[in-house]
Amino acid sequence: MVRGSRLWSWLFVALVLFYLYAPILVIVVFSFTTSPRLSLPIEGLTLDWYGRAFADPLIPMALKNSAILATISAVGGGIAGAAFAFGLVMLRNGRLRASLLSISMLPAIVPLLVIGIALAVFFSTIALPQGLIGAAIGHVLVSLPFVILTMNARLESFDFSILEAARDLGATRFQAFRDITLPLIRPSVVGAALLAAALSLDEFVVTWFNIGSQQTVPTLVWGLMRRGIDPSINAIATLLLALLVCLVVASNLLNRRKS
Amino acid sequence: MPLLPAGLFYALFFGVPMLSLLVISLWRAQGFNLIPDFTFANYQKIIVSDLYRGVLLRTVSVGLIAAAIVVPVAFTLAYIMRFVFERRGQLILQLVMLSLFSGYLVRIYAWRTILGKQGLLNSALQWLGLIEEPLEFLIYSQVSVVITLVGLLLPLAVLPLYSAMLNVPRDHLEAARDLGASPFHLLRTVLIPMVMPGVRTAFAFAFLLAAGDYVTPTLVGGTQSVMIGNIIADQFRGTGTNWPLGAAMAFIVVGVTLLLYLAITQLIRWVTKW
Amino acid sequence: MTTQAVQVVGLSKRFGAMTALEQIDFEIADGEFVSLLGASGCGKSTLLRIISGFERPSAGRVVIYGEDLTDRLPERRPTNLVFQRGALFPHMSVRENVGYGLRLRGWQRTRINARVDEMLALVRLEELGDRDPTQLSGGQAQRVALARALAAEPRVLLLDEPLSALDLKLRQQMQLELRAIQKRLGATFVFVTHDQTEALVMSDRIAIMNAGRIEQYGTPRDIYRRPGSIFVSDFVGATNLFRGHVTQVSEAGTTLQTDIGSVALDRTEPGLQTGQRIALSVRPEAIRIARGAGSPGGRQVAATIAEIVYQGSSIRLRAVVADGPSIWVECRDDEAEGIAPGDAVNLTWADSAATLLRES
Repeated sequence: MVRGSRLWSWLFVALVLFYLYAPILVIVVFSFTTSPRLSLPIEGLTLDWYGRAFADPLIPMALKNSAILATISAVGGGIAGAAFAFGLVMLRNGRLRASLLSISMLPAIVPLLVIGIALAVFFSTIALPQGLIGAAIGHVLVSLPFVILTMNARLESFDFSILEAARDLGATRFQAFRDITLPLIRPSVVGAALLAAALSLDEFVVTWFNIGSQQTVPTLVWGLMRRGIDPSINAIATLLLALLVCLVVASNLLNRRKS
Repeated sequence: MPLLPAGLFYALFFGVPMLSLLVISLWRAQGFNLIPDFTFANYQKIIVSDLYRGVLLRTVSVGLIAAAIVVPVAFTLAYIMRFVFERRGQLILQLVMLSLFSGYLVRIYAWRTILGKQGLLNSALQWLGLIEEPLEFLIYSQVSVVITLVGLLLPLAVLPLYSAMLNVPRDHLEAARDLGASPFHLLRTVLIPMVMPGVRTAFAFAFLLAAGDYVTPTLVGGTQSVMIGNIIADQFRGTGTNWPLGAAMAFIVVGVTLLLYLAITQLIRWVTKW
Repeated sequence: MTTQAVQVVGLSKRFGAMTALEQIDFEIADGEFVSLLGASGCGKSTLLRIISGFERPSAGRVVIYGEDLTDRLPERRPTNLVFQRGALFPHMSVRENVGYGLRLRGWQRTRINARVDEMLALVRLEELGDRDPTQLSGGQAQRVALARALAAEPRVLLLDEPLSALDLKLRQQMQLELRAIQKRLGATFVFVTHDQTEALVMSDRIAIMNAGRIEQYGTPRDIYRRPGSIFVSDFVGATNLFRGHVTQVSEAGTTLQTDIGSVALDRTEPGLQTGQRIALSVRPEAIRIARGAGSPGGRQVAATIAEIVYQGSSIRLRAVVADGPSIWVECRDDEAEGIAPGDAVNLTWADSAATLLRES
């Protein structure tokens, strides 16, 4: 509308993106530099920190646990969340649908710290020892709102009259679901599951209160961070980052595909 | 039927735990033992104690400052994506959201290395000859806590504002200007009222998550910037180990947030009232 | 000299490589109802948006009542716009919507209330002032949008296809109402539409737009009776176009060779030359139909009925000329009594009903 506003807009967007991505850039760059002190100017490049990172004796356990939790979140959170979103759009009562959607968003709004301690208290009352099971429940809980939100957005544009068309042509309810609905929403479900996996890989707070003496990649990184500045953190972080970016980008591409 | 699995999961692992936390907050702790009770002593203790009250006030002020930066910036960004770049705005949104999923701990840690006394910013400024001595206020202070929180919360605040603006047709903005509204009036009388739900959600996200975060103050905050989250975390996994007290603090944070949310909503409504 | 309400001078608009408007020059007189008529993408909405200030022209000026407003922001222009879908503010009541522009101008509350009442009466919605815009029907919403745009007495009211979302009956009723309001206020209206009937019914003058240019600008009767180009004759109303070339030009008249055979006209037009490519436009309702084969040549065309379409008040017949094109004829039901597909018929029309158009 106003002349020159495009230029200012670009500038503003560039500044914000720089602010968001500067920390990530710093981590990636310094995972390859020789100087253990994070400062300018950069002296030389090396892959040593990656070697040091993998030499950490806790790394195999952390990787294994992170992989287990990410898989549980992807499968459990992905399927339950997709089913919930599907149930929501099928509801005829708009008010009920809106309030159920809001309620399902609560775990994303309540601070992770509060969720973490609430689960810890609950598990201790039912005498479940701290460990992977509790952490897995926490991860599914934290990923559900995001899965439901993305699936809901995707399903709102779903044309339900094609299911009626299938029923009209003789398909049973189940056949219509299997032949029509499932092939159409499968990319979105997989996308949502990948998102759940990414959230799980990155989850720290809820994990920390419930996993006990076990380790995941984020709790391992946390331990290293508490000890001080260690360039091998940059190496682990960069690898984690690469994995997260792959998952989220893949999730986005799958969700964007038109039915 | 499809609602059942997730519904049960929510009830069992979100509803019940939150309730049990509420119940625990009314119990007493004796050493390492929990004594069932029905007392508001924990709440009272927090309000009365100068230490806890001070921490609570600091938490609220940090949350408010973070939200006061995050919401306008996110609003501007959402406006640009929706009304200046239109279709290309979606791509910018993807980039902004991608940063949300790129390592929570890592990003906080990165700010420590950027803002530290011998960190990137200070060494760059010294290298350029702009400063002689490192700027000490940059790290282990409320400044560093706010800088870090803003980066963490911005993507979360952009999302509700952008979706609210998607529901505002460009026609309505043009109609207002056609009828004589200046850009300022347009914002106050048309755009903000029309995206009010998005503004409220963005504020709630920003404030609640800023006030509830404890990793940020732990890693980049100093001894003078301890927040309520640190003290709560201590009660459960640290030196404090007083579960009832920690539970009460958690509910005080949630309660204060609720009150502030209502107050801010009223404030915005009053400011845009015309 | 009468005042010109709107003068558009040498106006061009390019979006990147795409040219939306090309050298537009035209004027609208004070108190006139002018329609900009064209298919989607012809530039009519862009022209309207330039007059209202939402787009800047790449070249040219916009002058409103003698004042050059090309660089004036939309909120400072003495024009108001009625949007295609109303664009009523959902968080304000009907009354607040109508009074919005007046409040921005700093009017006193009592004066605003009086004016809003007056406007609601004008659009016959006195009862609905306290409703939310979401509770209005499509027709009511457009009336509120009209009242809102008229409230601050704009010198020129711009309307961007405001009736296109309404159903036919309501649209016809609103057309007459809109025209009556415009007459009563004596205001200048610029109305964008793609519906030729709408433009014919409402306008003092119509500007037919095509590919970023104004093809013809004139009264509805002029446009319909004497289309200036093949495009206009085809776009406004249904017509039969017979293409061919001029075989003979003389004082007495013109002879043409077209795809329905040789046609003689008892007039000539300046600059017409033998061999020139032309098209002859004859409206379906101007064609008379008679049973039986007539003598070939002259001003009669022998044809065979291929199809009859019943339309209630009238019927349309498609007649096929041997080895030639189809000719559409429109007449009252009783005029074609007893004619059936396969019948041989004789088609005639008055010379004055045939318009000679040059191929560009």
